Amino acid sequence: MIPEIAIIGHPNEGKSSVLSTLAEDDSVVISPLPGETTRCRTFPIVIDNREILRFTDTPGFQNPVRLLAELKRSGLSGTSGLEHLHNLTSSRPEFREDHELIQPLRRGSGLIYVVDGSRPPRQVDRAEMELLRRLGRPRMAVLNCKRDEERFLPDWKEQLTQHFNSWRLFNAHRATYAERIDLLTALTSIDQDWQPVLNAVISAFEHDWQRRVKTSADIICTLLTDVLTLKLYQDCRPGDDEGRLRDRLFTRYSRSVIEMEQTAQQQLRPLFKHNIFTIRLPPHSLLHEDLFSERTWQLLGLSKKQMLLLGSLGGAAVGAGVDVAALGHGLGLFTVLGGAAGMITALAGRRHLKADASLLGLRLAGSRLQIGPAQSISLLFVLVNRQLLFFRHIINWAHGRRDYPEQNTIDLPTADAFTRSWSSTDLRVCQAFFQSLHRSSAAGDLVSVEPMQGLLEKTLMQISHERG
Amino acid sequence: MKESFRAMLAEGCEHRFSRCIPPPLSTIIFATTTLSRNFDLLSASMADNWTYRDTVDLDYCLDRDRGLSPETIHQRDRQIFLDACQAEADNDRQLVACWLRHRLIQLFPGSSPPSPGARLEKLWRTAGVLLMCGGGVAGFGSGLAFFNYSGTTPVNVFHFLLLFVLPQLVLLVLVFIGAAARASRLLRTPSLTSRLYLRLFTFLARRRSDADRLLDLVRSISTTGRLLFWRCFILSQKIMICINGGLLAATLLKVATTDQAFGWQSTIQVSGPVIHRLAQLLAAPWSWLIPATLAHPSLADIEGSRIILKEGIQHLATENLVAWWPFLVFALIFYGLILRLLLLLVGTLLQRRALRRFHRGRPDVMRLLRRMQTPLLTSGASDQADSLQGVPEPVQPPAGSTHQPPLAMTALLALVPEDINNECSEAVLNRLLYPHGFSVAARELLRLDEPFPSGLLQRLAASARKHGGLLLLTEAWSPPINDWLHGCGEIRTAMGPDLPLIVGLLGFLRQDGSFNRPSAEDTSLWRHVLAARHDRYLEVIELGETGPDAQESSS
Repeated sequence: MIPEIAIIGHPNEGKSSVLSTLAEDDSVVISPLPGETTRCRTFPIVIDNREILRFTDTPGFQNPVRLLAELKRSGLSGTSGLEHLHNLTSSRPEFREDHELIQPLRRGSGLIYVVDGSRPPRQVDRAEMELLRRLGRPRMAVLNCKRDEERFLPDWKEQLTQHFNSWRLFNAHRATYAERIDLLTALTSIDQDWQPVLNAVISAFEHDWQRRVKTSADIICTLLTDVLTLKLYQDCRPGDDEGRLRDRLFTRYSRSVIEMEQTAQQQLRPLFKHNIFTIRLPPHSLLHEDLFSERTWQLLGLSKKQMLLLGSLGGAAVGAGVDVAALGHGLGLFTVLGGAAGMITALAGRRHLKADASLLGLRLAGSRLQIGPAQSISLLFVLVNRQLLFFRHIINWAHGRRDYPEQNTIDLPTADAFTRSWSSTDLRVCQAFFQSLHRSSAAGDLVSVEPMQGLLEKTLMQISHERG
Repeated sequence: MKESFRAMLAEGCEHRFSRCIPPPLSTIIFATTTLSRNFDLLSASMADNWTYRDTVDLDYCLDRDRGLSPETIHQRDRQIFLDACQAEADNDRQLVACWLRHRLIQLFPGSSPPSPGARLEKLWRTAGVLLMCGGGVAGFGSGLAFFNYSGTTPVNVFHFLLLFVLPQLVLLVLVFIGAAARASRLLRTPSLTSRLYLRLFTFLARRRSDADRLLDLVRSISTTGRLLFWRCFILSQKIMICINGGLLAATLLKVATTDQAFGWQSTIQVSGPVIHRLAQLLAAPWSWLIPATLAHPSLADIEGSRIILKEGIQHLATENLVAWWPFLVFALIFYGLILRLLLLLVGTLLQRRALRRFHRGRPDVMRLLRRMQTPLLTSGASDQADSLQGVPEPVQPPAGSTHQPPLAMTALLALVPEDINNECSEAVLNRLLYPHGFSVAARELLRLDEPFPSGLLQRLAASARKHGGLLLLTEAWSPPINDWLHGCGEIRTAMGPDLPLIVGLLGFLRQDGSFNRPSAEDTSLWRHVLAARHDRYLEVIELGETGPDAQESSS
């Protein structure tokens, strides 16, 4: 029999949102009026065309007090109690929702009881918990705070401990990938028999996530390759205003790069199953900034230290070449001098884009202006950081978030560039990738692309395991 | 004209469409009534005798005020009171009548279309006249068809009684049983008659795709169905009087102008004395009034009018065959006509009684009376600078707030859920209820994790009857589930249908133990769900304080 987990609770507590986030499905119907969901809906987890687990969204309790009173009166509990309630509710229209919600329990499902932890526990909640306890199905509780209010959590924890095998805090509107995995892992504690199945589900989730991360890294790498090797031309006839032509060419270039970035982001989005609802970027996100704005480059480009490091690495590489050419007679002096020269060049090279578009390779070649391939490695870092920011945003855009007030959405940190924490080894990988693109002026060679992809995968995985 | 009526409706119905006349109904009215602009705005002696039409207009006017700011309607109603009603009204009923008269003049000045009540009344009357005419024709036609004697087989007396008398008596018995069951609250569904008329209204509006809204309108304007019941009851009696009248006319016509023979037959070997005894019993209501020879046929007549098919009728005496007709006519008059006339009288008296009581204790009417009788108190500095020259200056509205200290507070029995008992002391409740014109007369704790014990319900009902009604507190963020609604229904049943039941919605509990005002969405949901109960004596009020935290809870 396929293990089943029913999501049960009072109306309007966020059951559908929890399920939506857990199952990564933003198509879960959420009614604008609480209590209007009257049918169960099942969400199967299918691995290799085989359904191994299913979640069931249920209508909210409508008559918990009367059901509990009836159960107490009958003296029944467990399976016989369930049958009794089934018979009681089957012919009475006012018990329609309750009849529907006990059906998965009759099939032997476990249950996740969802409560809104941002409101105080009430007697009717206690009646629901007592009822579920008497029905004796494997169960855990999820505290889903719909508002930013935590003062009732201790009361809830005390109540939940009395009636449930375990409970977890899981905010459907801000749960990250890591928290989803944590919740699935916690489900193993409510029924030992489910452990193998749930482990398989978790493993499948993790493998699937790795696949998505690899694909994301691939998309970002392709974007980097396309942008960094992009070349555009503009014919320049005698008498033309060169300044205007330069501006026009720069505009064309930046538009092309933005289009490429948007294409990449459109490829990233469906990987994380955001199919129906539009992801809203935080209002102050750097992603709203122009890609070529000074602010973007300051915040997402290289740090001063990284700039010096990269400069010295580049200069040292040239010096080392000279040392090798001198058969070691320079005793490494050229390497040192080259590194120092690179650092000085890097310092001098911290110029602003708008003031000097030559960073993007803008130059007059014969009778035409040319822009690209980009001369500054900073563009690589700006692009990488923007894609990583976008990635972090979509993976943390919980699928159940859409029914929560806007002010409750978390605003992800914006200023930190992910690449600022990269080590010198990582920077060397980037430089090698950048240089390889320059050498071929087309696609980078495989030797430098693979490490770059690996570096991106590693960073994407680190972002995935961040907790909200 | 049709357009102007639609415009009027659109204007009038902007708040709650379901509570006023929907455009399709206007079309029906236009189709079924002759248009007349010369209508009186209010029935002649409304102050003493409210009519159905006035109740509809009152509901319409009160519904128009929904959504308006309390200050605005307080100023308006107070002004009406001071200008017109203070001197002429002696009691609450007259005060409400006076208010309604002035509101109708404001809303429907001379050249505008009639009020919704007048239109609905015309529709009702037209439908009534049509149905009564139809009844008369049906009765007359069926009588003519029945007395179609060709000289071979006499008219079977049993058939006459079975067709025209017995069904009426059976229906009457059913009506009385139904009324008794409803009075004792064993039966809670509306009467068959009311449902039939509601179906008729629905049928009229069916092609307009607003049957539900029309039904809702008719239900809501009839003040929980009681007035509608009597209205339907009276119309039913009128129709039955017409049917019986038509039947009687046809019977008399046939008897007077044709040679009718009456007889009886039965396969069961019933003896003549048994039939004679039965006829005596049936004639009891009129036998004391008229000679026995006319009141019912004699034993000899009965035995002489027995039809045995194989023997034919040639051997039967003519005086025996015609002896039955006075009995049948009296049966029609007494079991059909007079009984219905009596019921019509009773129905009219009870409808009048229901009309006299229809707004007693209604929360919205109580609020209206409070608005009229409460002086407007304004404070704060005037924006207008003092005039040194003593020249009179145009009056400017003063800056500052308008307070509404209610003169007479309605004391309620407050039902406080145990969960919020600590936060809902009497002082707190009085402070929250003050702006709504209510106060707490007594408090009762309510456990929401178990069904109400019946003893508690009876106690609550008795206590609520002693006071001005019952206040049921609830936290609005918790959706109205069936358990709660069921409990509310039980309380209403125990209290009876005419006692105010106030549902007080509270918002989130603040850190300091006070309550926020409920959010607009929560309030709207509760109102939506409770409106479906069609309980005119149920009112939803928002309690709690607005403030910075309220913003948080309202979103």
